[in-house]
Amino acid sequence: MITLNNVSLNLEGKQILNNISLNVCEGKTAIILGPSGAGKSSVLRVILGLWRPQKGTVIIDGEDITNKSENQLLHVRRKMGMVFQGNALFDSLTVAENVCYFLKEKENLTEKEISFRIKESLEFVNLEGTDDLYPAQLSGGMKKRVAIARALAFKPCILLYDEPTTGLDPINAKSIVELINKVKESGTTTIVVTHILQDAIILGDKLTLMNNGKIVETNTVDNLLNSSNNFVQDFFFEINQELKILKHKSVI
Amino acid sequence: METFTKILSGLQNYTLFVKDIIRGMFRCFKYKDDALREMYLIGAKAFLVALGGGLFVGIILAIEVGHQLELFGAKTLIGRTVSLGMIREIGPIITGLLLAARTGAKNTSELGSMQLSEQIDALRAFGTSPVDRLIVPRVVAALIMFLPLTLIADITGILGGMFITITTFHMDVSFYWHSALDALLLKDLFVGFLKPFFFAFFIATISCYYGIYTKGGTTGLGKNTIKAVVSSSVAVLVIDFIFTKVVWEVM
Repeated sequence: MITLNNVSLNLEGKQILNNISLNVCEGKTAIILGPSGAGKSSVLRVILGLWRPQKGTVIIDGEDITNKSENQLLHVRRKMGMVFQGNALFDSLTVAENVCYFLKEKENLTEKEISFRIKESLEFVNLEGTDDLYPAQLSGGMKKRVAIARALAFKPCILLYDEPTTGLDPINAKSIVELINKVKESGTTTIVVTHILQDAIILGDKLTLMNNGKIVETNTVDNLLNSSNNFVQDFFFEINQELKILKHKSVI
Repeated sequence: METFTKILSGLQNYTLFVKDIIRGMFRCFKYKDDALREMYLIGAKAFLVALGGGLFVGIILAIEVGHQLELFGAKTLIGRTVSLGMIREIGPIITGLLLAARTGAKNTSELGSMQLSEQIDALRAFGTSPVDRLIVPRVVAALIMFLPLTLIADITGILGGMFITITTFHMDVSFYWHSALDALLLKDLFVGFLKPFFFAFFIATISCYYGIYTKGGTTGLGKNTIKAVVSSSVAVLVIDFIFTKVVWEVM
């Protein structure tokens, strides 16, 4: 469904991605993990065609989009939904208008169908009754939910999340993770980019760890925990320590 | 050398940006509601700015010119000077400069904050062209609204001149109007009414360009807003110079 072959990206003379290869099959979930500045969000931007790589190919649903123009990319982008790190909600529009913004623009739906989609999407993210509120009137967690509802309203076959729980309190973060899991169950191909290890472990069986624009290792959580790679060991240090404490307690 | 390369690269990007806008203008009916909203914001809401600007410039012009003409006993020429000055030069320039500040700052700050909060990326990600959706309505609105605003400035400027002629120089109102209208030729009206379209196009495209290419957080947004207002104002003066030169040389 999504394939990146040896993708390299330079922006303003700085190497952002270095020979990245990634393959996500239809209906599967990929978790991209790594510290800030590792190039995780850039991978999503390359997949969306917002940034064009200098080397390598990007294939979405069997179509090579690497060198497509903005107009040629439109129909490919309509297959994808994106939840931005900062939510990217339109401040001047209400929640309902944000959710239906792209529906009105792109789909040939009647007003009744659009209202149904708004209701359906907001119910899915547990935000019934917030239709007339503006983004400024919402909490961080609620904004994130609206961003997810907006991406879902489209009924995309690919959903991309950029740091979905960053900046949220633990309760809201947990509910967003649960929501992402709920969306995954519907068979949507998902890519989640995060630097929060706990979220990554809950959301995916197989994790891709990135650092300095390169993929360090792609493996299951168990294998990563036992990896001999120094960077992987450093990144998983805290979790390993917690696991050791838990094991120690269970022995006692 | 680096600065020169930077300027050239900026001009190249701006040209490509303008090309996209011109292409997008053929699809402008798709977002007519946005264009109407922008017309209200940059046109109707700027009514008082144009009215006040035009009125006071007309008054100042009449006072300054009147005192000089009085020395030669040529007070009857006040109307002629004010009407020609307002219609050909000062009306369009003062409206252009006021709108470069007002509309330029509005466009750059709005689009810049949308760029910084990823809203423009969101538009692209969901398959909508930011140029068609955000820029073209602003440019179309400016092209439509700048002429009426300039007319308001012209008319109020001439009325301001009339007020001064009557109250300060104690002339008959009919003398003023006769002198003011008699001086105006078709080419003066043509030049005076053509300028606002060029001013509108450059103010709107320059300010949108700086807005949509905002980088570097709030500091970058502040810098780009200043650049947009300064560049738009300079563009107004340069275009006006070109028009004036061409008119005196050719027409």
